Amino acid sequence: MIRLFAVLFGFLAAGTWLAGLSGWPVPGTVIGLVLLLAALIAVPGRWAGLCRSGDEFLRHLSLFYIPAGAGIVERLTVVLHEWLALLLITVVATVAAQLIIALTMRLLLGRWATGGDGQNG
Amino acid sequence: MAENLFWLFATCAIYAAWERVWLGRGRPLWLVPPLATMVTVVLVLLAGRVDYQRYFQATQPITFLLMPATVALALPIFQQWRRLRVVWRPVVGLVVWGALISSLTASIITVVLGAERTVVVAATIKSITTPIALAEAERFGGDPAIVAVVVFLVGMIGGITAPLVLNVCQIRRPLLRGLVYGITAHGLGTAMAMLEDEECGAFAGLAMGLCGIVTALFVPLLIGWLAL
Repeated sequence: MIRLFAVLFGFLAAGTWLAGLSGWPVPGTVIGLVLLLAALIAVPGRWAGLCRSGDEFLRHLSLFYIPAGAGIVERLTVVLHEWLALLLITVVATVAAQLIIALTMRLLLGRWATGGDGQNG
Repeated sequence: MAENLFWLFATCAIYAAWERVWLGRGRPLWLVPPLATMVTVVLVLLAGRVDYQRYFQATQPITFLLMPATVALALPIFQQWRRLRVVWRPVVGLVVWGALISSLTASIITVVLGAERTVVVAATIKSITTPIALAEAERFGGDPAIVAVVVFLVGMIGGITAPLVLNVCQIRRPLLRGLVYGITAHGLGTAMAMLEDEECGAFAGLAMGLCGIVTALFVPLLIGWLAL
């Protein structure tokens, strides 16, 4: 786990530094992600242990969003005022986009898309 | 200090408790741990008349973990690298197409409704990962708090509706399922895709990163086109 954190903070620092240097709109975290991926591919090695720690860490990714998400209590007035727009964006537009993307997959990939490994209902 | 530590404890403990209940009940969608935890935290804050800023400051260490976690998404993508080398063309094509659709459906709805500018800006960037969305919001005069709330809600709702829509459309390939989670529901969707299947989670993470970058690139054009 500590090796994982050393790697993650190293690439996070590099990504953040590059983001500041270049002035791109892409945040340092995403640049760090791309750099780490490039390094894993470029440097042959046994990364199985690192990947296992990574999977364990990412299993609880959704916990890290809780404090920011609870910020909805502060914006209750806007939420109530614009409730229709918000409902349409978050539910209707999301489901519509998912439907369009899923149907595109069926149209382009046909049977390959619907014939998975059978483990996902 | 003791109060800060209490909120850290409470957030983790509520999450752990809901995860146990969720697993024990056969993983029902309406009880996914992030949603149940957020609702519980909001109710506790309202009931105890706790200032949200106070809570947010106290739980900074949890929020901070989003940064290394985003970098860590390189690991599951790397584990799928062999497959990705074969299928990268359709994957990239689907993500670019999906990013456009996802942004357009929401922004057109808000323009038709005549919503506030802050809501329109939030709509164009609703399905990208929080750190990129906040950077974009700053550039285009969006309200960071609204963007954070919309992005969170989209991730939560998208993560719940994705398996339903995918099952209706009979998309069974974990790879393709992951792409839909990642494109339409960013990090939270990726977190929920991880709960479904490892391959699904890896491609969700990949789609999330790509979709964030692609959207960041075309949002300026889209906002110009919507004449804001």
